[in-house]
Amino acid sequence: MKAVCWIAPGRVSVEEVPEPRILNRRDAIVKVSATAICGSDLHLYDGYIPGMRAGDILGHEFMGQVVEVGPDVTGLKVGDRVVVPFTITCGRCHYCERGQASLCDNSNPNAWMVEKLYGYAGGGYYGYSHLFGGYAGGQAEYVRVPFADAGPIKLPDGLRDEQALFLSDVFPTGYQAAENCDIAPGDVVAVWGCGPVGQFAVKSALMLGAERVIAIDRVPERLEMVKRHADGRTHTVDYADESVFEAVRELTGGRGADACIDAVGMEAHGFGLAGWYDRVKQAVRLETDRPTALREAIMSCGKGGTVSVPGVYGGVFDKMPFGAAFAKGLTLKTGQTNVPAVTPKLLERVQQGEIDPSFVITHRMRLDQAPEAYRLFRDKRDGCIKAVLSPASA
Amino acid sequence: MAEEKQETPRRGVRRGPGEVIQTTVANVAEIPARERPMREAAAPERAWRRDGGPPPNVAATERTLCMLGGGLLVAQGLRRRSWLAALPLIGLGGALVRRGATGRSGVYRRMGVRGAEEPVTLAQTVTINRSPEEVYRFWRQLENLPKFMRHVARVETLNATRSRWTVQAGPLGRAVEWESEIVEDRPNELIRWRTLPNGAAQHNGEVRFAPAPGNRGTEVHVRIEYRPAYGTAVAALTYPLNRHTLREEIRRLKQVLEAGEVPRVKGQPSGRRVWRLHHAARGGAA
Repeated sequence: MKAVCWIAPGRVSVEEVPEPRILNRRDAIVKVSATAICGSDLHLYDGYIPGMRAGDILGHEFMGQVVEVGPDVTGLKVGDRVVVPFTITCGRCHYCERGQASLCDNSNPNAWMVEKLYGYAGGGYYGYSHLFGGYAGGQAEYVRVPFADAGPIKLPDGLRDEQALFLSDVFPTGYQAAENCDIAPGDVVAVWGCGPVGQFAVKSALMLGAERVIAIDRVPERLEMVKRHADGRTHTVDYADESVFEAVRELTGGRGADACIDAVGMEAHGFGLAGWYDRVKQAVRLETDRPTALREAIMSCGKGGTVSVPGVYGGVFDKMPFGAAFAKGLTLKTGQTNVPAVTPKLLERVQQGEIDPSFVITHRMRLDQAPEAYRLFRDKRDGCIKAVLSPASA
Repeated sequence: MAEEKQETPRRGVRRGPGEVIQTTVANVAEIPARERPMREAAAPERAWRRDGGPPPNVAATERTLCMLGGGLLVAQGLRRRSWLAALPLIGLGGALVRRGATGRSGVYRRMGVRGAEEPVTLAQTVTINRSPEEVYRFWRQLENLPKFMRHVARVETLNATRSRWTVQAGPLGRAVEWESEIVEDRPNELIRWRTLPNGAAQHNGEVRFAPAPGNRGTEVHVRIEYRPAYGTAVAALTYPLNRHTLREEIRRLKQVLEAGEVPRVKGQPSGRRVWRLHHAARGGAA
């Protein structure tokens, strides 16, 4: 079969590889009908996540049809159409049982590596380095799905692939970020980064009752997309033009945002001295992440507010205004998305026509065009916000 | 706090379990001044002078590492053309080799470290989302153990307390055997065992099962103690368990009991081989 393989930083390639097979009794094999490139795939593409090996199959946003199930899989059968959460979850540990599936105790075969870095290890993810399990990803024609009775979510008829695909990651991620803000009526929520997760965070914050949302980016088409798909309750801030802190202050009557969402993560663009400081430190590996957005979010957050971080961070960084977080009594909410807990709620909203997640798609390409899709997405060329790959026409 | 301070040895004398030297600040004060030794190490030092040498005080793993590292340094030194660069390398390498071979370290002796004499204790703990009854029952059925103890090939129950263990150990993976005896068995609480003499991998072991707070299942505490056969540095390298592997074993115990299987990725596709062949054919470099 064809699969998108990571080769080296800045280099992916579509290779002919063996088809996956059932390795454990709770496995299933899914024939992929649609897959997407995630913003977090770009951290792998740029070489900032350790533990990648040449030839690893990428991709953690995918859906398709079950073509084979292991002997211990219950509640899922051949022919079922499913969307698969990017987090691999056993469904039976303490964390899975209480809806924190991304913290699964049992799904990462390389948990010891993560424990060395983070103290304790969460679960594994598809196609996201050997640090997070070394699982083959779903940017391929077929994919092996472990713990198939716990993860995949069956799709009702009448839902197009493009409406369901983003239930695997970006939609629930944006939604959980907004949910973590504990939005109360009258709240103003500021969102850093208007990529797909940011777009869904904006939409979700409005769905959850935010009075106003401030969307921050510098890419014109991304700000344009926010304006097009959100109603009059959204303001956009182009951080290349103005000071984000001042703009947020202005738009909140001098109070600061009630909640701030950092949908940017470890590779923020920064301007001026601070921006170069982080670039240099990251280049010589003195820090692993460039946390410009997080710093701004903490500074722009009003007193007693919440900073919610769906953006991926990997390691250590400095010049964190923690004193500001402390003095303002901020709440910090972080973490990978607990997809199995969030997605069923969203599936309902999609079914009821409340939201059509396909609005973020800008590029529809074939699986074998993946190298070009990665380039377009990383360089934000050709108006690329979200690229969907189709293995069928590969 | 105060009590803890009293327990602290005054000058770096490390006490192994069961050792009787209790040179704490408190009881040193009780010894009349003229009877107090100048240094704690002074008395044993005089003793070994008569026997022709100090006892080994470097642990087995460390001795192996010393010999390997020292050997490498000497080899590096011999490759240098200039004697000025070669001599320090050969000197340092030689000293390390000697330290590994004899198992004696003057520095350690002065510091009071007694590496070789101390038994090695491996301890790990994990919380399993199952009741103590379930976890105990699974463990007590000794034939289950190879399901999560990857180094154990087979456990046969001989009678109510005795069992025979077969293990693939060491870099060559040769099979070694020992017999083990359960010396204490408190259902749903604790199992304690020891190996019978004349088998391989002599050790004492203990596993405790305690209900975890907040309905989180069972806290499993495993403790294994063995005396490395110093003198044969290889023993440490071939001993079938270390801290890391023990941790991985109880992690697998958790995975088997909770998820019903151990997660694996071996055997799944990747573009690794294909990509390498492809590029070798084109003469490209990785």
